[in-house]
Formats: sequence, structure tokens, C-alpha cells
Amino acid sequence: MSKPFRDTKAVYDRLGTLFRELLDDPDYGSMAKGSVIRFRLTEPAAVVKLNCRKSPAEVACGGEDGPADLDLGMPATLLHEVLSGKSGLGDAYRQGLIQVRGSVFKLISLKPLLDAAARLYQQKK
Amino acid sequence: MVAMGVGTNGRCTATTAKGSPCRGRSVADSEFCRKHQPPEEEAPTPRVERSLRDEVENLLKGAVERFPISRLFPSITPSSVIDTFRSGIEKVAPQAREELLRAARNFLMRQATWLATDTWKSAWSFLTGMSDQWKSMLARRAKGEYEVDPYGLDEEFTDWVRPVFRFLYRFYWRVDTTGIGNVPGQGRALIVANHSGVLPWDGAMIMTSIWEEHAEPRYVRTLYLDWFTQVPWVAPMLTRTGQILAHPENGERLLHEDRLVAVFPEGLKGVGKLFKDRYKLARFGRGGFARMAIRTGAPIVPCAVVGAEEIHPNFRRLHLAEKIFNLPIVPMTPTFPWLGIFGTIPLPSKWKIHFCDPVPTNRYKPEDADNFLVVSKVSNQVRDSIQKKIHELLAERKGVFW
Amino acid sequence: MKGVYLVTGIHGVLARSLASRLWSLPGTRKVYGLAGPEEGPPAPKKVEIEEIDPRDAALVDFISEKKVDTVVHLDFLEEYRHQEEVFDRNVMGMLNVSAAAAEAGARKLVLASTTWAYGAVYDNPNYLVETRPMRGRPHLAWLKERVEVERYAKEFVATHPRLITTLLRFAPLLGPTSDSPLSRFLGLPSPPIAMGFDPLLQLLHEDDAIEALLAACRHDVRGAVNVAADGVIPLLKLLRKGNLAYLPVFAPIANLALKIAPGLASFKQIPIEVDHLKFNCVADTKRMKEELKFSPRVGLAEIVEELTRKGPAEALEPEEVEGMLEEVEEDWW
Repeated sequence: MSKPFRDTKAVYDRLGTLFRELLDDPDYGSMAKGSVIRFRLTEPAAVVKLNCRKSPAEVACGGEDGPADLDLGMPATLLHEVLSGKSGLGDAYRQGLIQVRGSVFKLISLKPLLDAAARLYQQKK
Repeated sequence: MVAMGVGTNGRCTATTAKGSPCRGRSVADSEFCRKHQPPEEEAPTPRVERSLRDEVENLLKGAVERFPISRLFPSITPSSVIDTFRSGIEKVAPQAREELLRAARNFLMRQATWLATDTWKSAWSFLTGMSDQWKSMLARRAKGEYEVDPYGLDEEFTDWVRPVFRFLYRFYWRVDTTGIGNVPGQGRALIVANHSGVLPWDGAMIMTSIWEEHAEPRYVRTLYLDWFTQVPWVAPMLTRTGQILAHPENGERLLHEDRLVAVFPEGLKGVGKLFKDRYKLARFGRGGFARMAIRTGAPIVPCAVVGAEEIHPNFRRLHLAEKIFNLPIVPMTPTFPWLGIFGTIPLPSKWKIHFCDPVPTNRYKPEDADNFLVVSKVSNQVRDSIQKKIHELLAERKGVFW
Repeated sequence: MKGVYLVTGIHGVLARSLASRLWSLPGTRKVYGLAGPEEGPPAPKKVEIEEIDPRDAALVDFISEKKVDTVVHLDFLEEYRHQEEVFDRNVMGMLNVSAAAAEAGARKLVLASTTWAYGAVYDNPNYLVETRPMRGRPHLAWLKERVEVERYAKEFVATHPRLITTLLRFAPLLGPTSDSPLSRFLGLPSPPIAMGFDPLLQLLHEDDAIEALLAACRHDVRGAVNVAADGVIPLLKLLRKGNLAYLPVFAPIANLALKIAPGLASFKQIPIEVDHLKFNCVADTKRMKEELKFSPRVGLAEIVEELTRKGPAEALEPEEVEGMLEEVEEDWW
């Protein structure tokens, strides 16, 4: 299976632009208002932080410091599959492929946002 | 809404609000008179509109596929719905299209999310998987696989205990934080606050307020009294959540590393205060915090905390017990020592935390830290600013517990 | 004469490795090793062993005769209970060697010490700089002797400004051949810890200790330098990673036991001070990086990894150490 992301820069390019576009949309941007969401990806290693406390929401690539309301650790390929609709987030969580730090309830309430991200991701393919 | 008419003969084609056709003269290059000109909004960008359209079409297709409509109404297929949608959207004015598309998308999106079974299935997976996650996290930690920063902060552990602090912040003490913009999001800063309440809960709440409310949340390293390093279980707990022993060398080092540090200059005098002296600031030590800030050029953010005095109202200090058990303070409060361990549960007063305007120190040179006059000037400035704010907050306060 | 080195305590593992490695420095002409009165393994290659007791005044003649340029004093025996003979050897030996070096006109003196001499006190700052006072109150003989050596070294440096004296304070050493107090502690079947305490530890790999000594021979640095690997590790994390079955002991009882019976034979069970199980004793390594121009090559994670893989070193027999060193020496030629 070919890797969807070649290296860290590729991750930042694709996911960075995806989330920036997503959060630019006023409806989606307000869904996560007041939260700091961080994706800690492995293979390749990358950290993407969505800071929705600022307006406009900020997408930061790299840099791990600071507390986050929701911190998801998973392989980059898994994120690609979730956004492509091939895997379900819940199933992956159940199998222990994702490390969640922070409130799981917040993760559940952000599902519409993740669905929208998936739609946008699939549109861009 | 102005309905668009077809055909021009120099007359405005709009319909007035009352419903009769407008008789005004149309402006050149337009179908409408000056009164009925369409508003000067920017034309919806074709890109945005196209992407919205695509989204709505996808959602419609998904909605039709999800519900067995086709069985009941064979004529309703995904493609027919999309055709209907496409022809319908053409009839709408371009300016209104985006708004309508957005509304449609939001409506359909909520349907797609909350009516889909896989959403609820995954929510269920999350809830039931939580205990497995905890177990695997504990197993991993038991093998020693966790990271610690150069001062002992364990981020995973801190994230894990955060809900406790969040509960205390939002529901127990219902802290109102103001002036959070005065705390810089990057770079070094020294938060200086008044200290009260026997136990260092005020430090914990300042920490939590930055986590919860600040636009760029950071870890606040509060400097705690050296006595606490000798208390079992408390000492490693403090270290793991990022607190550090109060020592001038530590403070300077942290500030040089551009971190956010919080200190309580009143120290033991602050927490040992009797209830009758509440909210009167004790002496601010020998100005060590000011020296630290001047040497590193860090701005000082004075912070006033109101509500912490009442969590353990201290009527008397039991000096004998302090001597016997080698504790710095043993207070006599309405609940302690009569109720024993339950007496250490703090009372749920309502708290207010205010971060005052920062006091810059970069106008001084680092050598000025040895100049007693400069140090005491800065120290007094900070102290006055906190005391003033405390009085203001007390005046605003309606009651102790609400 | 530049390039002539004298390493004391040549029978120790660290000294033997160092003596061989000194030949990798440019301009090395001769390496002498000073053995004590006890029997030891035969000399490593290209190191001439002299059997002069470190307390012997004849050392002055030897140093001036052979025109020794740098004296590296590594002669120290780590014993837990006080033995007059060992104390004499460690403390008097150091005094004699340093005085001899100054008297005989050597250019440089390199001494070894430990960061634990600062003492694990409850109000230690998180990173101890070299100017901090020695505040520990040790019970174990070896640490008491190290603190005394530190005291004398301080006086010596003040009174002998012409001699370049470098005092390297090593963080606890770990490694396949190390026999340091910490490795003995970790080698216990169930190391005791103070219940409710989790101090931060700092480590150093034994190979890096040798590299640091070489750096001290290469560069001229006056005074004390802390030597340690970057980063800190909580004690419990170290024990868990090493998969050691530690035994939490209630601290007041441990203290009481210490007070009542400090000389108990069973005290050997705890080769390290109880204070170090409770409080931090972490040294700042800025001086090491900037002045000694040395950065440890083996990182903290690697040291712990090695510990996990191989387990802590048992006290090795001299023949075993000999065999290991011979292999290493062959690689270097």
C-alpha cells in the first residue's frame, strides 16, 4: 500500500490547507469554538494544532508544547483513511489505534466537524 | 426580497414591497431603478458556491441513499433529487444562493450526522472503549513509557487529572476570569498573585484559568514553597503537573527559557493569614520576584485572586500542632480539625481572578536587579496594583458564595 | 613535558580504559599508571605501571623525574562503611598526589568527584551550578570521603593557582562494566524506595566519563565542572523501565533505622543515601558544554535502554573486566 503522505512536509501541506479551509467556513469554524485540538501523527511524525480559541482559528504545524483540550495520537495513514471514509474513528479507537488525551465527550461532539473535514478531503482528491 | 423580472424598457422591473410593479426609471446597465438596486454585496465567489453546491449534492445523495425513500416513492432517486435541486437553485438570485446553500448544507449535515447510525455506533465505541484506553495507558505507564520535561512535567499525567481542576474551576468555585489578554501567549512573563487559603489552590486555579480561557494556552509553572518537597505524595504530584520549587535560580532559569512563571510573594504569611486580616496584602518578601523579573527582562503580570480566602477561613493558628507535626501551618477553621480529613475539603466560595496590566521591566538593565531602590519600586508598584484590584473586586462582589 | 600522563588508581576499570585511550590524544608521549599496594591485572598495552603508593612522598621525585605533564587522579575505593585504611588511601592519597603534582612542577591535575557531593537537600534548585556549596549529610563512607576530597580540592585550588586543576563531578555512572553505587542499587533484587517520593535523576554513561576525562586533558579548564547526560529521569520511571521490582518503604521508618543503626552490616543493602531517594540532586551542565567543550555522546534514553536490555552490571571480576578491555584495545589499534 503506497503511503498517502510522503513526509512531514507533505502532511503539513495537505492537512494544513485542509483544516485552514475548513475553519475558514463560518459554520464549521464556530463548531469547535473555544477548543484547542491537536493531532499527533506518527509515520511520518507530524503535529497539527487547531487553535479555535483565536478568531480567525489558527492552524499550526509543528511545535508540541502547551495543553490541548483534545489530543489525538494516531498513525498518519489512519487519519488519511478516516478522512477518506475508509475507516471509522470509533472502530479505530476501539481497536486501540488512537490515543486520546482529553475528554472523549468532546471528541464525540466534534464528529460533525470531522465529517465535514472528510467531505472536504474527499472533494479535493 | 426583490423578485427579478424579465424584460426592460427603461423601466424598473422590480416589484415593490406592497406587491405592485415599480414604475421607476431604471438606471443604465441595470434592470432596476436606483431605489431597487441590489445591495452592494460582493458577488459570491464561484469557487465557494461550487464547493457548497458539491457538498449539498453529496449530502442529498447520502440522505436519499440512507433512508429507504426509493422503496416508498420509486420516482425519488438520488439523481432525480439532485436534478430537482440543481434546477431549483438556478431560480434563486445569485446573491441569495450562497446563504440558501449554506442553510441547506447545515440542515443536511446535522441530519447526516445525528440521524446516521454510524455516528451513534462510533459514539458507543468511544464510551465503551474508554476503559480499555485507560487500561492500556496505565499498562504503558507501568512500563515506564512516558516522557518528562527537564523540570519533571508529565504532560500525559497532567492531561489526565485536568478534569478535576476543570470541575473545580467551572462548577465548584465558578471562577470568573478577567483580563486574560494581559498574559502574553508567547515569551517570558511572571504572574504575581496574592496568596491565601492555606493550601495552594489559588495556584491551581490560575493555572486552570490559563488552560481554559487563554487564546494561546500554555503551561504555567508555579513556584511552590520548599516545605512541600518534603511531603510524600504531594511532592511528586506537584512536580508532575509542572510546579517547581521556589528558588531564585529556578525562577531565573525558567524565565530565561521564555516560560510563563507564577509566584506568590506573600508566601507563608499569605496563607497563614487570619480571617480577620483577609485581603490585606502581607509584605511581599524581599522583592525576590522583582529581582528575577528585572534580571531577565520579563514583564510582571499582577494578578488579583478574590475568593480564595474563604475556602479555609482561618480563625486561629495552632502553633503547638505545628511544632509537633513539623508543619508550617495548622489552621483552625470551621471544619478543621474537628471533622478530621473532611475538614480539608475547601468551601465553595465564588472566585474572581483578574490579570492586571503588565508591568514591563525591560526599561531596566539586568544589573538594576541589585539596586534595592529599583527592586522595591517595582515590588511596591505590583503590590499596589494587586491591592487596588482586590478592593475593586471585593466591592463588586455580591456575596461570598455566589 | 607535554604529552606525559600519569593516571593513578590504574587497577580501576575507569582508569584502565582511560590510560589506553590517552594514546588517542595528539602528542601523547608516555602514559604511566600508578598502582596501589594491592595486586591487580597486568598492565594494559603501552601503559607503564609504577608501583608507588599514592600516599608515598616518593611520588614527587617520580613526577619531576619523568617530567609528567598531566596527573589524572582516579584512585578511589568506594566502600560503604568506614575503614581507616580506605579513608587514608582516598583522602590522604588525594592530598598527597595533588601536593606532589604541584611540588614537582606538573602543569595540570585532573580530579574526579561526583555530583552527589552537592547533596540531595529538600530545597535544592532544580539545576545545581558548580558554585553551589556541598550540602549533603552523607552516612555512607564513600560519599563522606568524596565530600572531604571536595573540600580539600577547593582549598588546594585556592592555594596553588599556578597548577591547572580540573575537578570533574560525574553524575551517577551506568554502563556494562560500571560498578557505581547506582548500578549496585539497581542490581539489588528489590531496590527500596521512599514511599511517596519520586526524585529526578541524572545519569552518565561510563564511556562518556572517559571521554570527559580526555576532554579535560585536551582543554585547560580551571575549577569544577559538572558532567552529565542531558535530561532527567524520574526514579520511578527508571525502575519501571528496567522492570525492577522496587519496594516502597515508609520514609520515617527508613530514617529511624538509619539513626538507630547506621553501622548495621545489613546497611549494605542500600548502597545509596536515602536522601537521594527523596530529593533532587541534578547538576547544571552549561560549563561542561561551553568550557570543557564536551557533550556526552550517549543520551539518557540510550543509557536507560541499555539498562533495560542488559540489566544492571553485577560487580565484575577483574579477569572479566580484563577480557572486555582487551577486546576493546584490539579494536583501537
